[in-house]
Amino acid sequence: MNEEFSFQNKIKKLLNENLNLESDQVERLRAARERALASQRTAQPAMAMVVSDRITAALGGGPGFTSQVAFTALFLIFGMACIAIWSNNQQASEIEEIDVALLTSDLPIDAYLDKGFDAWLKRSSP
Amino acid sequence: MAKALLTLALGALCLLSSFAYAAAEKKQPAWGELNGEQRQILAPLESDWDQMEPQRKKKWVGIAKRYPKMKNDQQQRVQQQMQAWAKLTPAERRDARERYQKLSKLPPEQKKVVSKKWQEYQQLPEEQKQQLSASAKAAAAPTSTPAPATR
Repeated sequence: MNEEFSFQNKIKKLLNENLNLESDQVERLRAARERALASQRTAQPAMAMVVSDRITAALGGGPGFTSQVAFTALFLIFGMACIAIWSNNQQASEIEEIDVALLTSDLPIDAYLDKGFDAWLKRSSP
Repeated sequence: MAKALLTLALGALCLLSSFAYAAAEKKQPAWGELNGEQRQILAPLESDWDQMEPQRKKKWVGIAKRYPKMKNDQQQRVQQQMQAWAKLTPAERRDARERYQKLSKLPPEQKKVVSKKWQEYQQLPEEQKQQLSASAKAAAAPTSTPAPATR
């Protein structure tokens, strides 16, 4: 340990040799160091939060996650139910239209059901 | 908190609307619950009414609503055909609808020809009609034979 410490001191000494800095230079270096340390302190938690959010999202958890999923699922179910109801009503109204037209048409119902008439039509059409 | 409340409200709305829809579908009037005019128009269906599925009742109530706006001859045709139509099986009604839709796409001149052909067909001897029917069924057989069921 002492060996390592003396080695560090030797390097520090060599690096500082002939390094005669002015006081304003020292001040500027100190300020730059402060700024660098401050930005490192704020960047680290932000990064940690992003990573943690990603992990919780990947695991299917996190604050507000359950209500968001429930909200989306309910919204989808509600949308699908609305579409099903609309489609059902649409189909019923189409059938009603056809039935009215069929019941009021010139031909009787038998004409639409009689297979023999169908064959007769096909045979006698040019 | 607000999101949770909204979710709850939406869930309640969803459930309520489903119940309301199911109730509306299920609750179609019994014969005795129809008004006088509806009963008069739908009289040919009286004996079948209470056994009808809700959707069919709903359809007939819709038809009764349109009835006053129909011409006299149309009203007569509806009255004449209503009972026979209601007695058909669902498959027969589906076939008749399909056939009607096909014929209704014909141009007016051809529709007149079809009406004339129907009159001619009515005059054919019963034996010939049966032959025609048998030939039509034989022609349809290869396509209408169901494939071996796998489910």
